[in-house]
Formats: sequence, C-alpha cells, structure tokens
Amino acid sequence: MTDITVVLNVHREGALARGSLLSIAGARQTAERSNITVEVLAVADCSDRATLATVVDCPGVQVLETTVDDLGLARNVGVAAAKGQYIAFLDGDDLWGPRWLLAAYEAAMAEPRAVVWHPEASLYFGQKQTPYWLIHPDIETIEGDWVTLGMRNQWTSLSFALRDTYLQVPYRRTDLAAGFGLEDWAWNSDVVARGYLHKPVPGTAHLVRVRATSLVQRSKAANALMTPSTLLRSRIGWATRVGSVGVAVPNASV
Amino acid sequence: MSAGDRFGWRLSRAALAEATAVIQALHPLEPDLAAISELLHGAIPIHTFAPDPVSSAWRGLYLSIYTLPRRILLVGSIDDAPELADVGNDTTDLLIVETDVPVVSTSEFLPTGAQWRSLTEFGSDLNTEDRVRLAIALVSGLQPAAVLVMGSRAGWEMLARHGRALCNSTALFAAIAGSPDLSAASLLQKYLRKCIYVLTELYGPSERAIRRIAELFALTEDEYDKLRALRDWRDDQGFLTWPGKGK
Repeated sequence: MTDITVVLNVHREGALARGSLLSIAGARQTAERSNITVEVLAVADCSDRATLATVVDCPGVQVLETTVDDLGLARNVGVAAAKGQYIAFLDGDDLWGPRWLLAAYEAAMAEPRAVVWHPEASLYFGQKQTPYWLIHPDIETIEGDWVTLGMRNQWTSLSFALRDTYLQVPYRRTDLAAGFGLEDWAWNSDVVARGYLHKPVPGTAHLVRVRATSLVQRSKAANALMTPSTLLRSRIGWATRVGSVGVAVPNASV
Repeated sequence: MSAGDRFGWRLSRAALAEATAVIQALHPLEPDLAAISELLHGAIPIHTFAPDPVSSAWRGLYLSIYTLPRRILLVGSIDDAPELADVGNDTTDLLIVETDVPVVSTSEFLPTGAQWRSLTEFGSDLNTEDRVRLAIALVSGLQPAAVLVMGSRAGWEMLARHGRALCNSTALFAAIAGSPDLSAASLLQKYLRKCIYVLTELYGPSERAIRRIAELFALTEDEYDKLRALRDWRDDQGFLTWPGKGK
C-alpha cells in the first residue's frame, strides 16, 4: 500500500503551480529517502490550458480532471482516487517545506489518537501581501481550544491525516451566493465534531500565497459566514457533561 | 489573531529553516519569494491565536449555555425592554441575550425561569464590534429555529451583514425599539432597508405605528405584510411559538 497520497488542487494558477510541484518534489524526495512511498495526484478543477500544461508536463504526477467547480469537492475527488494510507493536501499556488511529508508521517505514526496534522507555522506572502507568520495552535492548549472555532478558524486546509478521515468527513460545497464560504473553517469544525484533534507538527512550515482570487479572499470579500457546522450545537452543555470547562477533548480512536 | 511577540511565542529554528530552504530553492522562479528572503530572519511579524478579550468572552458565553435554545432573543438592554415581561410562560427553549449595555441589567421583570445572559458578564471591555462578532458567532454557531432582535444594535448589525446566510436555517424577526445608544427611528433608518428582505416578521408597538413606518419607508405590499403588532409574537407564525404548527 502507498503510504502517502499528495493531493495537489489546481484551478487556474498557471505557472504558479510549478513552484507547488517543485515543493512537492522536494518533500517527496525527503520522505522517500526514509522509505516512505508517495504518490502525487493533481486534481485539476475547471482548469485552464496553462495550468493543465504545467501539471501534465510534470513527471511522476497523475492528473485527474474534474468539473465540480468547488475547491472542497475537488479535494474529495482526490481523496476518492487516492491509494495512500494518508492524504496530504496542497493548493496549486502554495508551497511546503522539504520535511513536511516525512515529519507529518512520523508524527502521525507515533500518535495513537485520531489527529489532523498541520504545520507548526504558515508564512503568508504574495505580491500585495505584507508577509507574516501564523503559528498553528494545538487543540489541547487554550489558544487552540475547540470552543474558539465559533469565533475564528485556527488551521489552514493544507492538512495531513488518514485517508479515512477525509472519507468520514468529506468537504461540503461552498455556497458563496447564499452567503457561506470558508470551507476550511467548516471542515476543521466538522472534524472536531467527530472527535478528532488538530495538532501541529513541530519544526515544519508551509508558505501560503495570498491572491485576490483565492477562495479565502473571495469569501472575505463576499462577507461570507462559515458554512454551518454541527460542532457547537452537538457540544452544547459540554462543561456539565464532562465535568470540566478545560480544553480537553474526547479521545476518538482511529 | 494576536502579535506573538507580545506573548512570548517564538517560531522554532527548524520551521524557519524549512521556509528558508523553500525560498532559497524557488526564489529564482518566484518573484514574490525573492522579495521576502531578506526579511525572513527577524523582520516578519509572528501572529498567534493567543486568547483575546473577544475569544475569552465567547468561550465564557458558549460554555455557560447548557441546553440548545430553539429561540434566541437579542435585546440591547433587558431593563429597557419591559415588553419582555410579556414572554410569560413561553420561556422553554428560549435564551435571552443582552447585547449592548456595559452594565448588566437586573432583569427583575423577566418571568421566573427565563434563561438570560449579558455579553458584559463575559467581558467588561467589549466594544461595539466585539459585541457584533459575539452575536454573529452565537446565532451562526447554534443555528436556532428563530431569532428576534429587539433594540439590539449588535443584533441589527448581524442581520445587515449576514441575514442572507442566517435566514437559510433561522427565521429572523425584529422588533421596533431603541437600543441603549440609538433611537428606534435611527435604527430603522440605518437598518430597515438593508434587512427587511430577510425578516420573517417585524414587530411594531401598534397598528398605527406600523402604518406610519410603512408610509415613511415606502414599503412594498410584500414588505408591509411582514409588519405585525408585538402582541402577535405569540401567534402561530410568531417568534414565541416558531416554528408553529405544521412546520
């Protein structure tokens, strides 16, 4: 069985996808040196010719074309086709550090509980973006407490987890016209409602490009709410049920 | 997000080395990366999710609620809304949340058993925007069957920003009443046109007042049909009984 399937989601990034593919190649090389097997799927959703040409020309990358016209659903397409035990997502204009796949895999193998893994930090950059670091919190600490998912999203969508996780909790369609967006926030909440933890992998970093046309930016521009999640409804009265107002969360078994 | 440096959070050397490696490898291809390579060691701000007054207030508010309310009533000041005494026995599954005042109401005239919270209980320094964010988080997170905004500026602002999305899962009601810092007329001027299309019903103090408002704002027939006297909030389609029979 393949250990990790990389799902690269592309839309109309054109040549920007080349950087993402190169960063995947670097992370793949590091993982394979430790005998971890990696396959790479590029899911091209309603992509233009320039983007398709970029991914098709890349050796060792399997290209899946789809017309779901939705980033979250395109991630589901990748998960459905994946052969790997684990999935690692990357969007077509973002970048991984070279140790990401190896470090995330090792962290996942050492953790018996059901966890979605994130980098220690993401560096946001872009042509019109003043760069900044965002440190991703551990859900088992006060700054990563699941209750605050009601106010803010604390993790990106470039996560690493068992394929079964994404099968159990698939992404839902983003309906910007109805005022809903922020698919990563909704998914991060949904997966917590199923008992998963979100944890950072120490010593890892992603580089996240900020563009006006990204789904996050379009969601912000549309003043969208998070797509509704069951998390806060299902956990009402949590403090009385578990006898604590601490940040502990239930242990879901894999 | 907070600036991490103030709280002592630091990026690990290993994570920094990861980013440096990517930038060194790809900057010839990526002009956006070339621009940040010189800033990488020290000049890039670090943001974290350190607790802030709003997230702490949210945490306190959410964890204080023990049962899922089917109806939420957002009121600017409980003590300035004597109409709430008329809630009577309809307090089951109802949560009253005081949104706007910096001093918690005494709530003496609320019926026995009425569940209520005041945002100020959970954060003494909350500003107007904080209160709007908390109202939005409460309603979008708990997705009650119905919400009534009564003299709550935070509530009206929530309707104006997200009413289109919220009305997919929640019936939205409003009552004409002043908030602690704005008169009823000012609130209507500011919000009625933006919000009327998402409202299920808009309650006025009397039929006469309703007719006056319809004229003043040149409401269409469909919009006028949404206007009711507040005593109708107990009707089959009203806020206090929503979702009513057969729904």
